[in-house]
Amino acid sequence: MNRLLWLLVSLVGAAAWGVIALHRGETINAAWLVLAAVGTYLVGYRFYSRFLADRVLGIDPRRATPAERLNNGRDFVPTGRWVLFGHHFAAIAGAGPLVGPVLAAQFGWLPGTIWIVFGVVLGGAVQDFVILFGSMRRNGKSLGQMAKEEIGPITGMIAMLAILAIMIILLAVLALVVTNAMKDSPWGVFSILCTVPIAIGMGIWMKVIRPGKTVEATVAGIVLLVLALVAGRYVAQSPTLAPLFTKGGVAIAWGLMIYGFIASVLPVWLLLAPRDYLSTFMKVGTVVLLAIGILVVLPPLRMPALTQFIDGSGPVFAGKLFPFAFITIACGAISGFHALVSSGTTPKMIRRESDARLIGYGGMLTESFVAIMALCAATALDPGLYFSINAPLAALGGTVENAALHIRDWGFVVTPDQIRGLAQSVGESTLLGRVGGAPSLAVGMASIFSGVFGQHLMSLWYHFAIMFEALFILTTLDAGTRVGRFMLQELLGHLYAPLGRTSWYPSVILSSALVVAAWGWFLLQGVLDPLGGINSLWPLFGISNQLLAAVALCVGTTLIIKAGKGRYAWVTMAPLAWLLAVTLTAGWQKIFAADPRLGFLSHARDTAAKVAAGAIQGSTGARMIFNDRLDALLAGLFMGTVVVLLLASAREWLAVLRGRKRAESKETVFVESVYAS
Amino acid sequence: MRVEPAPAPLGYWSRALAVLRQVSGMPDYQRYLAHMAERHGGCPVLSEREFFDQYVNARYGNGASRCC
Repeated sequence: MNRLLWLLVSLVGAAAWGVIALHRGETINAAWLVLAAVGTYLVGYRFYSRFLADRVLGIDPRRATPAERLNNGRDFVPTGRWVLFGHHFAAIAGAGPLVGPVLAAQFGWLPGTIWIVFGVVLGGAVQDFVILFGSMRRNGKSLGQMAKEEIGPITGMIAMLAILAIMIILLAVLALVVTNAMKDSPWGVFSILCTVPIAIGMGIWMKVIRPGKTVEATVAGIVLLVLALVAGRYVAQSPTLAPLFTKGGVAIAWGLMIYGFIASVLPVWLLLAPRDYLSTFMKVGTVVLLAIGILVVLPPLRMPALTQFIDGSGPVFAGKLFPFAFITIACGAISGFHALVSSGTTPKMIRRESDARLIGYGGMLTESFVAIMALCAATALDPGLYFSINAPLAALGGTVENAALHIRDWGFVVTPDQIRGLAQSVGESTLLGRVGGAPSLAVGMASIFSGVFGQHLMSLWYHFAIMFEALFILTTLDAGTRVGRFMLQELLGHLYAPLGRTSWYPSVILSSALVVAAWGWFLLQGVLDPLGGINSLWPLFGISNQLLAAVALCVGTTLIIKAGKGRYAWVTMAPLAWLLAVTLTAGWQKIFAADPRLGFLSHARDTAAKVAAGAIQGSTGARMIFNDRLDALLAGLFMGTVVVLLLASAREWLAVLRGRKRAESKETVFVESVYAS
Repeated sequence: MRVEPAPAPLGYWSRALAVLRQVSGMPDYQRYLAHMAERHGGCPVLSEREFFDQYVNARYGNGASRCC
């Protein structure tokens, strides 16, 4: 019976892939993508993750977990597996799996779908599962600590510096996504601004007025958010209020920097914790709503399977299908950042070792499904409209009429009236050149929700989607600045001891300001970039995120080899090899490619020539050239780091495999679990 | 600090609240009380406000690790 069921699941999945493979020309329905993805996830979970659990990792349900041994009722708590699955999913899923697939949709829906589905089953979910397992066997140690203990102290140090650099780029690019969604949008600015006093109100409620009543405060917060959303429409329509909340990109960027600084200095209960609760509720709720919406509407995908832009001439970002599709979509297929979550709070809450498979592997499959939904939402849009939102203003020629002509040159039909009509229907003055993915995803989500609940609410759903994305991006900005501050303080503490004290106010202010200045620099660079900033920053973010995944897979391989399972080390080495090929090629092209849209150095030379010809002002040109060189340096640094790390790990692997070193890792000793019987 | 009797068994509503709290990483005072009663019976326990403070600081004090 059971076998029959799995045969059926496999057949349905294979049939869906067959439909996708044989499909030519006409629009395909999102249902086939969803079926193919879910079928592959189920087969991957049932067979591959079980192989990983039983053969490779040697999961032992009789072994007591840290949550059981160190149970303190707070961070170490045995937690039911489905509850922890939800908790872990809420911690790993953010803006990444939503934005990446939307940007990569410029290649068509096919490359993204294949990479998201097979990347997760063979790479991303394996990474999350192995790191979660490793951390669980080591009392919840962090990725950096594991790198230090299992590979070597220098590796640990490099891993920590890499994490700090990645954090800076991540914060800058996410802030850029929000900036582009909010600029010249009084509705967006008003409703997103309202989230700050709402969160502070919740914080005071939970701490002072009714201590510990977090659920009621959060529910009240959500009600207030919806009110702010509705009120935003009136603000946008009011001739006196609208100009007050209509801000350009630079002003919004400065606003975000000031917000990030204040938020990372304030006590956590006042802003960070309530904002996190709010965004978690909203995130889980909206993702479920989106899944229902897609299943009810089953939209046809109007984007072609492959577009001409696989040759590298795409307007959204430059670069060929290989390697840039695999850099642009990081979260959803494989995301190094998850290794930080999988070696953080989650391993301390696992009740039984056997639960780790559902939480680590299954949690990542769920995030991958979110990425597939984002891809469906973006490719269900009319491709002409998709490019009118996602291509930078400079590439579109500045006006709606020019944009329609340019897009026609690219082979997609769209009229100026359609472009204007879309902006009007979502309550915006213009959507032209709103790069960054969030606005086009919001349009896609709004169309799907309107398909379920009726067309008249389109503008409300659009702004709901924008606020939902901004809410957790701002939470990441807030939490990320704080994490960066702690890392920086630890590093600065080596130079001058008092700077390392996390509660010493001068040090707190100095290090917070430094972290904000670092991501703020890249954010401003992106806002001022005529190509829209996403073109240079998103690939840097993708490269750095995949680099972190490479670090995690190096650590994972080391753990497997040191557990005496060297013959199975290919489970992490194969995705590692793929990531190295992708990141090193992409890094090399971003630095040295001759096309000024693609290569940082050739863009610097191109700018210098334009300055000499008088086409660009001298001071602007000098700033752009400096930024190009900075970006090139950063990409080079990322590449250097990954090579050094790989060599250090490989030395360790060979030492163990050749018998020069005993296969022995720093796992905690076996204690029998009370749940065993 | 005060001594608290063991909490009453949970109903459906409280259990739903507990799931909501645990999924979103909120402090769960009832679970803490249950833990104290089971493992450290008779020991003084934190008040709800003290527990909230300690929990939130432990979870976010070092900057919550989360994804993009």
